[in-house]
Amino acid sequence: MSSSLHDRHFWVVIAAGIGLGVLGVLLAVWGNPLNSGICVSCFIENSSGALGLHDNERMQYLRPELIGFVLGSVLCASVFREFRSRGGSAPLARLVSGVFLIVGSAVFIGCPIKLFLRLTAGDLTAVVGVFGLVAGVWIGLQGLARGIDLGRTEDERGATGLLVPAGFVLLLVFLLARPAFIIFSERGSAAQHAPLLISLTVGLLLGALAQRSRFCITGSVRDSLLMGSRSPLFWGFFAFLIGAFGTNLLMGRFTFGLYGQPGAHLEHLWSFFGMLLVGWLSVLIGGCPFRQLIKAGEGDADAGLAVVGMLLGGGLVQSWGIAATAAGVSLSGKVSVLVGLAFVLVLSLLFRDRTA
Amino acid sequence: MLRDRFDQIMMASLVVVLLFTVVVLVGAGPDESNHVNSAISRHLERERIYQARVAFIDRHFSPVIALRDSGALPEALLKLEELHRTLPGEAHIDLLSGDILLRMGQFDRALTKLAAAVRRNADYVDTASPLSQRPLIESAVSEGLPLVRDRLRSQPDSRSMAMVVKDGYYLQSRLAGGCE
Repeated sequence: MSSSLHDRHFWVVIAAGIGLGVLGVLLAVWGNPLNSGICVSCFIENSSGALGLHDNERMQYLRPELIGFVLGSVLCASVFREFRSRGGSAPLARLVSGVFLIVGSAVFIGCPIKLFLRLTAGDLTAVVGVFGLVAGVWIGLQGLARGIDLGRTEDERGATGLLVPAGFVLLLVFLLARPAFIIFSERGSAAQHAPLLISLTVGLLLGALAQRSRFCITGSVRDSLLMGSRSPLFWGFFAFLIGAFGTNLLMGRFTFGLYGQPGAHLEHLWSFFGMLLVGWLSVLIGGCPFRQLIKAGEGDADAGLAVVGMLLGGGLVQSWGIAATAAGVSLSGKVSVLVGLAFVLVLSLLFRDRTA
Repeated sequence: MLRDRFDQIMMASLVVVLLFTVVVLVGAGPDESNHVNSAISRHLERERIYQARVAFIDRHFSPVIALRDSGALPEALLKLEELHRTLPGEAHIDLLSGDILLRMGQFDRALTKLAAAVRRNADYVDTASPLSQRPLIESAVSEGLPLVRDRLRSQPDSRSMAMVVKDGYYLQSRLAGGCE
């Protein structure tokens, strides 16, 4: 720890953690839905709806934060000469994994970032999600240790890594120009949003910080399980929790309890399974939904495919009624999570190197 | 990058295609873009359907509201039962039933009806919607939930009371907001 204090990277990780925690709460204060200041899966569902991939009139908005995350990462990676087109590691498996990342998050109601934003706002229903996420990351690590590997990512010719960032530039143009075919909700949670310029700036800032620091929630849990407090991500995660908890307290957003929490349900078993799926998949494909966006911004076409899968997933979870609500988890939601778990198990069997 | 004639042709063609795209976009008149028009029509259609729904509610439920406002609460409930036969599954029947039952002091039944209404149509808890009934639902939760919770404590084996409490928590959660 003491040697880490002199390491610049350590402080970048701390800044990323604090930034994500504090701004995650503040975005909700500035207009985003409660406890959803930053929620990559909710934002993906909103953006899929805005692009016409589902027709839930209450969930359609092109979230500027999402665009900011990717473009902030592109800019930062370019400035520090870390942008590198790469890919070719089990692309279809990653695409489907992206779909199931959103399925697991939608059944829990939130991505791993929102999981901890909910927890630090006093929402006790999130506790079981934490157990699910940690269990998923732990199982994923056991798999990696026993030879599960989706294959090596290699440098690619033709700058394919630019395709997903270019797609997000197009989304930015759509957001600013507001062509008629992009749909914006006038009611419901998607109609609640922070001012565009603030959302975009926060997204760019956090995208850049996350790119420099490699900070993400499941990565932090993974490194904490592997290295404990010796990992900078452990301290970044701690800073994230303190930042979010402190801001929730200061802003009067802390409501301790199990019942009546915003965007939460009481079907704990399915919250556990949803986050188990997200944690497990995240370890196998190298990061949670947030990290996939950041990596796509660095030129990683594999992560880009996961992002495309996430957008498809955002459409599916709304169109097929998979996404949970405060009323609970639908049958299709429960079945989809189980299918997702079956998918990870099949991946684990098919992609295991048994020669080692 | 432009190593030979083929590369140069490809690059020149790319520039031409991009320029042509800009020309098509800039030159498109309001009647020329069918896709954009259809998107606008879809939006207008959605708005029209929503306004029609508000008008539909006004038309069908104004007699019930008149009875309710005059204090004839049992008669208003009977009228709603009558409407239920012609409009089964209509969320507004549940909403008005909840409202009337709340006025009659039947908090448990009111919470169940209001939860059913919100499950069918979340606009009732949305401040931005013309159908918003937040104050009604807030008062049902703040007055009714503590009472039914106490009742559940005194009869912990009552499954029906447990369901009512669950409905109360559901409404509380929807009122709190969140992304769903």
